[in-house]
Amino acid sequence: MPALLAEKPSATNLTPTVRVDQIDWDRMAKDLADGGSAVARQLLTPAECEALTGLYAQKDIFRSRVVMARYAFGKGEYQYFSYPLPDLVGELRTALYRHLAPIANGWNERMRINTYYPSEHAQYLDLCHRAGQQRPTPLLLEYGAGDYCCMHQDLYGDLAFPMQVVILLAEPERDFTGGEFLLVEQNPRGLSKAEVVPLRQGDAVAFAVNHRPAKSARGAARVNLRHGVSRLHTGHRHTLGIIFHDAK
Amino acid sequence: MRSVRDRRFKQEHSDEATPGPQDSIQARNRTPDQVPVAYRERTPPMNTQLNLATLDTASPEYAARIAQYDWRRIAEDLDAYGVAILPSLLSADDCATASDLFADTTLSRMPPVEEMRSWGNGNYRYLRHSTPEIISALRTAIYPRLAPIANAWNEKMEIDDRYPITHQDYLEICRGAGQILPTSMLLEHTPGQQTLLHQDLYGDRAFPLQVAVVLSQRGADYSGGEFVITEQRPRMQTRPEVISLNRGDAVVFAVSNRPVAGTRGTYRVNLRHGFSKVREGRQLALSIIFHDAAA
Repeated sequence: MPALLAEKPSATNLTPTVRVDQIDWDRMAKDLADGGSAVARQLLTPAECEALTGLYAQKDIFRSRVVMARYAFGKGEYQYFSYPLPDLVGELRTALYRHLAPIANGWNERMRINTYYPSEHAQYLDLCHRAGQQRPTPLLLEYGAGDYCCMHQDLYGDLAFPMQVVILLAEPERDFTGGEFLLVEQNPRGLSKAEVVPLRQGDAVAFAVNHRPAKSARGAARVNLRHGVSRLHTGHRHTLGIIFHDAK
Repeated sequence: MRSVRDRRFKQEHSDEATPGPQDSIQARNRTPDQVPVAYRERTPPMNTQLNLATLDTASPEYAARIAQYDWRRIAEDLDAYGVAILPSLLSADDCATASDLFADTTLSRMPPVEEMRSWGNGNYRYLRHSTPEIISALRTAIYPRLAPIANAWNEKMEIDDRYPITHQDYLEICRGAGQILPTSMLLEHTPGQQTLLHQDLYGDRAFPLQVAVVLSQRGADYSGGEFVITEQRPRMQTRPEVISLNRGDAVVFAVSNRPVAGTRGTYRVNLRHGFSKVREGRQLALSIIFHDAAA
């Protein structure tokens, strides 16, 4: 299966912003519209992935830690970063938003939602903060053997940017087995569709937070999405989650 | 990747490959989780070339193979997760034999155009009652191992039904309830094709566990096509399972409900299963359901 697993030389000398700008965003927009998700391969280098994983032990840079089993969200845990975000996380959030905002605006137009996202993330955060959503939402997640995350939507208040990004920081088969990233799309008129998104270390998946526009006989319809992670069989799996709206 | 024979089959039946649900009116009136069943079996053709067994004959070979699994571990996995794997249930030869059945339309119990589409855009082939031995033998040999697990589940869920220890006897119960149509099927997924999350319920009688066997090798024959289960829990978020299977591996899983031990007693969860879309190549799978379908 060379097409899926092909290695391409990673551009270690480019800044994360330049790497984000070099993603084929036309393809990303099309994949997002077709299936609610799109993958950018090797957005982060293995060294960056390992550095981010290492942050998990630094308690002073996080605002809160959630043990999923306590809330029946699954098994495993995650921590929300405090402001100011680590440079790499902040830079990715700003750079990714710039490309996702036009796609989000296109979606809202098709779904006849009267919300417009400004072109810069700083402007959007300003809207969130004025609406009382002031706490940062980027997070690091840690899964060990037997851990999983139930199907959910990351909504933290009235304001929600409709797409988010997850970056896999560990390498499947080498660092862990199991632990598949999964999207389930609820079709209002029929059965739900499950999609497993194959990811490798450093790959970023952008996906719909809660709904996306879909074609229907009567024009624009909305399909509802949830995302989750299947049970890890062995090893450890860390991911970076980048959510663009802040939390109440 | 695809054999010449398969390609020819595809062309001859190109209407079948049309993706997307094209439901009949009956299909639209069904509850979304249930697959349609009201198809009359046609007069069986005089097919004597294949090694056809009579209705679910026990085979010592398959019984011996199935006896080798650690059934305590399987029962524990089923109790914990609603799913368990039987590695290498079928050999590469068995998989090839079962895969070849897909192209033989005379084994189908309904015309290709009527094969289901409401629950996926893959290609599905329901097999006739005089199914090839490989399938009926597996069904007969696996059932006695699962019946005690199913009975324990019913006890925990306070459901009165108990399942007899032989599949023959259970099929008698199905027959008594008017469920006489065969339910075993072959599934084919090619790029972009998937089977949506569903439950294989075909009438009032339902054996609570079923089996799927993947007949192709991931990484070599296809990519994508993961077997997915979602488990809906009362007042909680849905729990996902993704099961990666190699060629010949079987997965046993709950058809719809199973008991889960909670802090305040046992509760029931509701499962659905499906295949995520195949990204490259061709995947074939065999589905074995222990209840028959209402006529």
